[in-house]
Amino acid sequence: MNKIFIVAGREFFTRIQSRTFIVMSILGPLLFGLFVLVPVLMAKWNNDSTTVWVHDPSGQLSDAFQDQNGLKFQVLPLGTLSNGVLVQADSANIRQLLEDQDAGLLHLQAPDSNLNVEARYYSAQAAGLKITERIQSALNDRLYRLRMERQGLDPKVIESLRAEVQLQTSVWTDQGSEDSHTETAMLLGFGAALLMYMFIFMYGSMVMRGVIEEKASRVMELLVSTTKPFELMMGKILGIASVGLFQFVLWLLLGTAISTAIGAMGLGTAPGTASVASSTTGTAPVPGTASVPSTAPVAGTANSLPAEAQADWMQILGQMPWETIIPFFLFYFLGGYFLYAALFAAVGSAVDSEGDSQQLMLPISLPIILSFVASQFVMQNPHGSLAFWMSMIPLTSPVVMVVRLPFGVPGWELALSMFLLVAAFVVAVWLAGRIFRIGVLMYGQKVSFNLLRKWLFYR
Amino acid sequence: MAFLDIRSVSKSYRNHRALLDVSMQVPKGGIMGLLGPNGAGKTTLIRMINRITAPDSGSIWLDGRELGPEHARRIGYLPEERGLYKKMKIGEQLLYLARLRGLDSGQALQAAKHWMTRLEMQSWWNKKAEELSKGMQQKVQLVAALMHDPDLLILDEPFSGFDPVNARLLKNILLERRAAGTTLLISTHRMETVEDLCTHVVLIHRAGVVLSGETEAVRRQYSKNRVEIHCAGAPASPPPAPLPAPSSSTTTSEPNAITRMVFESEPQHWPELIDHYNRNSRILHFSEKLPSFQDIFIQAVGTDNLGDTESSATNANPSANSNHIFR
Repeated sequence: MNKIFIVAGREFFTRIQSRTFIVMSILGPLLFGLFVLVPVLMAKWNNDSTTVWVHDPSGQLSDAFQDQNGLKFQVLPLGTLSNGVLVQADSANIRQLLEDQDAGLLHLQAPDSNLNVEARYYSAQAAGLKITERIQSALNDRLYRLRMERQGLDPKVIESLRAEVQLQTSVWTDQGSEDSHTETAMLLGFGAALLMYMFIFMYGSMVMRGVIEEKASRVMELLVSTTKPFELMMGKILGIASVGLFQFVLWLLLGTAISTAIGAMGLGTAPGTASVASSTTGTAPVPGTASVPSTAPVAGTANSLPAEAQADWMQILGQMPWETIIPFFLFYFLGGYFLYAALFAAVGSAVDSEGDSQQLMLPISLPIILSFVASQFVMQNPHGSLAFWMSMIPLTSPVVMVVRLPFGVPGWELALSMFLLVAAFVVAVWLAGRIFRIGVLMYGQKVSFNLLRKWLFYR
Repeated sequence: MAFLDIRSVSKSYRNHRALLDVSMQVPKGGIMGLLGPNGAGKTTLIRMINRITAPDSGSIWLDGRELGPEHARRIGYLPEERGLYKKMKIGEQLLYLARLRGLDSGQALQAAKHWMTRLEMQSWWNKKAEELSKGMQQKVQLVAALMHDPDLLILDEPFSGFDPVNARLLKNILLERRAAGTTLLISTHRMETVEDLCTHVVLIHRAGVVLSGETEAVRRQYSKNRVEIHCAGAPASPPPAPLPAPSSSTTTSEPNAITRMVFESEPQHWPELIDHYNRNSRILHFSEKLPSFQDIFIQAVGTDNLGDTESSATNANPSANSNHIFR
């Protein structure tokens, strides 16, 4: 037992002193900060207020436009331009208006007898979708009203006829219904799954590389002569797990510092929201996310949350069943890591170099990737049979179950899945231990699955 | 009672037999030379004593107790496959390995400093293994084997890779350890090591012990009754029958010529031989010519194996070795 800690200690201290660790610890949050900052800055620059000059000779339409999110509407004084069709004489005036690259001119003609309007937008550069959509919907809305009024409807009546439905979602339980927050749950589950996936891959393969290194450098024989293979393997797995957790804590601290700094720079509400996203859905900023499929929902949703929604969102987060999510998350987090790390250690012990590991890596990485891909469908249907089965199979349950956690999972399913995970872990350690014990001292042999099977079942 | 007692140990791998009913005893303070062609089972035996693999049958006893995990503290091991962590500092590696052997941090530090000074490598503490040459790394590993002051020191080819200066340093250390009561087991292909150092030898061939015993006794056992006589002056006339004529004879040039002759002769004829040359010449030297371990090795193992002793030299994989065992 004592030797497990000596081995773990070496793994921990040599790794956190390595240059890669230090670089990654600093670079990780910076990359993540950049990842958050860039869209925010882009949005900010994008919002550099565009002034739209509204030329409305009829005076019936101009008050339909309201300033919003960097779009400013200003009514041109009558007579600046000719009423009706623009003529050559107006061109000097227009040029002057559009001298500011961000300005535009909305030229409206008086509505005809059927309340149709000819509208045209002039700008120095082609107008963006955001502007044209805004103008169109405002105009449509106004004309719709005008037509209703012409039909003799009172404006007050029109206002009262407006329907606004906001779909609420609830979970029906025996105690009555409680509010559910599908989007938040999705975000939360996805963040947790992403974290799990990355942790298993990054640190699981670090275990494998460590074993290969000891094998290739032939330190192994000396280690095995003093220490039981099981102690060696567990020491390595534990040591590297602490390296990973330590790095995550560092990232979390640095990441929080950076997002606070960004927030303090006064870049509006978006950074604040993003930092909430980072510390709740992901619990830590995660570098390299760009290489993982479909990170867009996380980043996109977090950044595009409007200011008003932030308070709501915080409130919804407060309503999440944290007391069940966190302990179970930790359980699956560690359980999944240990299960895979043992398998990775077995692969490492069976091969001579990292290049040879590819073939044997496949059956291990396939379930992780599969469960990560499937987690997107699980999010859409967290209680379907795909979700159920994948959260039972131990190789996929660590990722899939954490996706389901925020949606609420029946107790017996959790219990069964956790039992299976623990059982699988015990089997994996036994299996990996056998392969490890024989594999670590085998050199120069091309390892096939057939050979592994022999190692497993011989004597 | 033997300090290291190996009692009819057998070990088979899937398709080949590594050791069959091997027994040997090494007395306390003895230096046992473990000989044998590659693939004979030496590595398997050494790994068993180090508890890396377990015997299928038989048992290994150390100092009157059957081998167990607690013996890691008492055994020092220099494996044939030398290995260190490439990126780790020498000092830290030594501390780590010593702690795995059971020393606490304080003892480990003290021992590391002592032995690094002794082997003239004080300045290497902060060097990484990859910065050292092969011979230098071997010194580091030797320190790792010596640090915890083991009662049994197992060295696999300890002299290969050392320059003459370091080889002498190593030899002195080994003799010193022996004087301090350490028992040594040295696996080697260098016969001069056996003749120089070992008090006992054992030769393993095809999974079994083919000869064993005290070094001198083994040499005498393989004696071909060869004697060497040096006489002053030119060769004298050969002795009359039934005494044998010299099987070889060389004479140095004048003046003060010396004739060196070798005879194959039964011991009962030796007095007559001496008599003959005493009468006809002047004997300067008479000695029994014991066979070298080179000769003993070849005679015991046979020449059929010499061709491929090197071919599987670095192959630690037992199933690959089976080819040549069962050819």
